[in-house]
Formats: sequence, structure tokens, C-alpha cells
Amino acid sequence: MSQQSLPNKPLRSVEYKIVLLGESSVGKSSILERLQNNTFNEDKSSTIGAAFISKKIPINENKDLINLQIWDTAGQERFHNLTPLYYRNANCAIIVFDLINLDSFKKAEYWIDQLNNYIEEQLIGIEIILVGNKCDLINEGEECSYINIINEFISNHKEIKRYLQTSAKENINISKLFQDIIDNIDDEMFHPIEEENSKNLIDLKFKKNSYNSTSCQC
Amino acid sequence: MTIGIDVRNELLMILDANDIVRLKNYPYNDQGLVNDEIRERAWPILLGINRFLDSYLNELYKQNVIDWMQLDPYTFHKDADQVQKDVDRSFNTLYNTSSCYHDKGKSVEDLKKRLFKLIMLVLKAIPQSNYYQGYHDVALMALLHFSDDCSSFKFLYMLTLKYLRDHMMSGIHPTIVQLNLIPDIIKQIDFQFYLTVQRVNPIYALSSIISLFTHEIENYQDVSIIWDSIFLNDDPQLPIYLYAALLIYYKEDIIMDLTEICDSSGEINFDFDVDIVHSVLSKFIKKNLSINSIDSKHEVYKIIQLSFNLRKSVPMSSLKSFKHIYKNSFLKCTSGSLTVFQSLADEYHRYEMKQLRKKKHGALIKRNKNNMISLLKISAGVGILGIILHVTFKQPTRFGIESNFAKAYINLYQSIREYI
Repeated sequence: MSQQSLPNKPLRSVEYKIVLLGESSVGKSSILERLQNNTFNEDKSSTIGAAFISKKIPINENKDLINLQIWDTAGQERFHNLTPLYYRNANCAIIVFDLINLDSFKKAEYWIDQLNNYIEEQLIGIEIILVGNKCDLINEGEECSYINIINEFISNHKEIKRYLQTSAKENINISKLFQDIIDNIDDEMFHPIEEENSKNLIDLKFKKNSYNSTSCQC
Repeated sequence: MTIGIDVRNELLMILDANDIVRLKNYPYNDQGLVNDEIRERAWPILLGINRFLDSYLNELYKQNVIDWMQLDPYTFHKDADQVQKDVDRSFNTLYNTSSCYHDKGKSVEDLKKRLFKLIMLVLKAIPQSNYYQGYHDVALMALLHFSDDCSSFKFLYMLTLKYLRDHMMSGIHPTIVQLNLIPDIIKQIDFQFYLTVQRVNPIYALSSIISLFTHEIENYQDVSIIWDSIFLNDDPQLPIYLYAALLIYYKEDIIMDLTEICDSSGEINFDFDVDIVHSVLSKFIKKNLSINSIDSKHEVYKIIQLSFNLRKSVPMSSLKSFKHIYKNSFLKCTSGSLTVFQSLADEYHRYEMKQLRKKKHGALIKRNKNNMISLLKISAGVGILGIILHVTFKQPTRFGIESNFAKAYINLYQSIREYI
């Protein structure tokens, strides 16, 4: 996924929105730090409210440009009422849990239920990916202690597109996680970049759109 | 620097003389309360910890410590698990930039244990309080500013009651209604800029407000000076004005960031913009007041001055959103007693009940709506069936089954009526 020196300008682009959900301290922000800077910080501070990163990834010999826009959410339950603000436009939700903490997996189940309700209400499609993080803490040759629960859950929830075990700390499967997402972006979502219009697009007065600033989900 | 020494000496003199009135009226300057030695003595006084309260809190601390030693943390307070998770990752920039003069040489592991205990003791001392992420950073400031754990406890206890109680309810609503004041203040000062910030829900300010800036401003000294301004003014409304002042002070940078990001992103779609606005607004403080900022102290001073001006020109009570603030919120009621905390908890509980009733009512309406739709479908079905049968009956009898048809028709009609 590294950005190489690319001579041509991309012809098409896509904004692809991802939201990270999951229990506190499972490694949501660390996964993003690995994606963004390829670093890991043991003492990474907790996310309050939400954080946002964007990353541009050229593909197809720079003919296409993917702009990943990723919301990282707070894990503590009291902030959950705010979370629909972040997944309302998401194309993809990554639900993260900690492979050595069964409670965090229960929280993952909660998030999948929430998303299913939302998808049903809004009649939209959000791709759901389940991620078991901290796989470096499982001894070599062993499995996660509650692997059966995970497997059963996945087989009962067909809406889960993919399941991956990752480690943000040891950089295991993080690139794969995002590469898979990129590879699965529907070609129809790409739109041509028009040279003339790409300048002076920002109008700071901003047209008011349907999104109401005062409406809060809580 | 000589000014600093003068201010320091004067403040020490005031403290030695225990001249509380003079301390409270001490004119605000760019040094704040100058150093941690003075803060350690002045902050508790400014929070209203007098001789009586002090001895009461000493007792409370002793009792809670006894409980703490006997119980496991999870029995001690329901939020122990979350507190532990946050304490484990608390010691980054704020700690690294602290002068921390009485903690030099102590291990971070030891500090983590003390921070955990401090938070747990205060949570236990305030019945019905709920821990929130961000409080751990506030507590870290309390831990680092005082030489002994009992003093940290007393300070954090009062700070929580007086300046943070809205955030400690079982839900987040009392905090959210506070955040809505921020765009309202901007509206009165800079309408053009307001049009930009009003596009998004003011959740971007959440982290700064609930952590009293400790989670966003990375430099311990800068946060200390901001806290000086809040305590010297004895004004729980000031953090909201400080946030509005930060927005206005860094307006140019915010607009530049928005322009840059949106320019390079190619095609604009408006939903995308909302996220970008949110993202830029939730990052601008960290970006502009980072540990690498040159002369951040000077900027902080100007921002504090600006917040005083805002407070003067836009009184909160004049704002529309102020009506939605809870009656027992620290923005409306400055008393920092346990009684007010309980009243706020009751007020919030009433709000929750009301929401629950609304939700039930909403579900009922939805169900009725669905019933109405099926009723309409059935009626239409009956109507169509009626027409078909009517046409059939008008036909001359060919198969001799009209009487059977008629019976079936009546039966069907009756059964549908019964169903409805």
C-alpha cells in the first residue's frame, strides 16, 4: 500500500468511509496508527468522542485513487449514543475485539446487532468486517481460548463479510485488512475526476444540506 | 522574568497571610499562578476548600482508604474496569511535560497505582457518580500537582462537584446540551465563521470540555495556566468560553485546513464535507497548541483574555441553547455540594424517563401505523373481491354454482369483519 512515485494523475477516485467500532482498549486506534504511520505506541491515549483519519491510496498504476476516510470511535459505553453520527455514511464497519478478552467479543456482538438494526431501518448497505486484535498475545501453536464462540457466531451471522485475526503491535494482517477492503470496493463507486472542477471547489459558506447540526442521537 | 518573581512573591505573601479575598481578586496575568508550588496552595482555596471542609474531607479520605484496602476494586466501584484501562494509558505527553517536582524519581508504575486509587476514591465519595473517559486526564493533573495523595483527593473531589458534575451522570445528555452553547457564542461574534461550524454537531468540543482541556492541550504548563484562569475567576462557565475563544483565535488556521483538505480531495460531495469539518475542528487545538509550539504560553494568555471578552459580550443567559441546560448544571448553579449533585442526578433521571416514554410512544405510533396499513390493504382486498363477485353474479348462471359463490362470499366477508 506504500505510495510510490507515480507519474500520471489519477483519472477516477472514490471516497470510501470506514468506521471502527468495539469495546474500549481493544486496539482500534492502534490499528489506525499502524495503517497511517506504521508505528505502534504502547501508551496510546484513549479516544474520547471520535477521531478521524484519511488516507489516499492510488491503485491500478495510479489510474484510480481511493480516499479512505476512517472514523475511530470511543469504546466507553456512555459515548455509544454518539456513534450513529459516525456510521451514518459508512461504507464499511470494522468491529474490533480483543482475542484474549471474551467480554470485548460480547461487545462486538452488540455492535453487529446495532448495525443490523441501522441497516434494516435505513435500507443501506454497510460491509461488516470482524477483527480479533492482539493475536500476538496468543501463544504460538495455540488458538484463542474462545475460538468456538467466535466460529459459531460467525456462522450464524452471514452479514459478516470477513473475519481476520490481527496484531497492531506486531503488524500482523493490518495491511491485509485494508488491502481486502480496497480490493472489494465496487467499481461502480468510482467517479471520474474532472480537472477543471477540482480547483476552487471549497465554498466556506457551504451550502446547507439536510444534515441538521442540532439534532443529536442521544 | 523580574515580573514573574514579583508576582510570585506577592502571591506567596497573600497565601502566607491567608488573605483569601485578595487571592480571589488577584488580577489575571500572563504567568497565571506562576508555579506549581503556589498552585498547590492556591487551587484548593480557590475551589472553596476552607478549614471546615478540609477536615471533613480528611475524614472522608481516611474512611474511603480503609474501604479501599478491604474491598477489591470491582466491588468498590462499578467503573473500576474502565478506569483501569484508561489509567494504564494515561502517562504520555501531559506527564512527560510536567515539572512534577515532588514526583521526580518515582516510577510510572507507582504513579499508575496512585492514579487508579485516586479516581476510585473520588468516585466512591460521590454517590451516583459515573466515570467517563477523559476524567483520568483531569485526575492525572490532580495527582501531579499535589505532594500527597490526600490533597489530590480533596482537590479532585471539589473539582468534580463544582466543575465536572454534568459529565458524571449516567448518560451524556447534560454534557451535549452544554456543547451546543459553543456555536451559539460564535454566532454572536462571527456569523460567517458560524456558518462553517454550525454544519456539524459540536461533538468536536467534547473531549476538551469534559477533560478540562487536559486531553487536547499537550503541554502541562499550558493546561496549568488555563486552570489558573478558571479557578481565579471561580467560574465554571469559563471552559465553554475558552473553547469558543480557541475557535476564534485559530479561525484562520481552521479555514486554511478546510480549504487545503477539500481542495486536494477532488470532487466535493457535501456529506464528505461534514466529516471533514468535524475532523478539522476536533484536531485544531492539538495541532496549534502542541508541545512543539513556540511561545504557546503567550498564545494561551491571549486566548484566556479573549475568553474573558467573550464572556462579557455574550452572556450565556442570553443564548437560546442556555434554556436547555439543566437547572442543577454547574453552568447554572455554582454550588459544589453533594446535594446539588444529587439534584442533578434526579433531574437527569427525569429526562431519561421522559425519553423512555417518548420512545414507547413512538413505537406505539409505529405499530398503529402498521395496523392502519394492513387494515387499508384488507379493505382494498375486500373491495376488489366484492367487485369481482359482483360482476360474476351479474353473469347469467352457466355452471349453477352461484349459490355456492354467494355463500363463500358472505362467509369470507364475515370472517374479514371478525378479523378487523
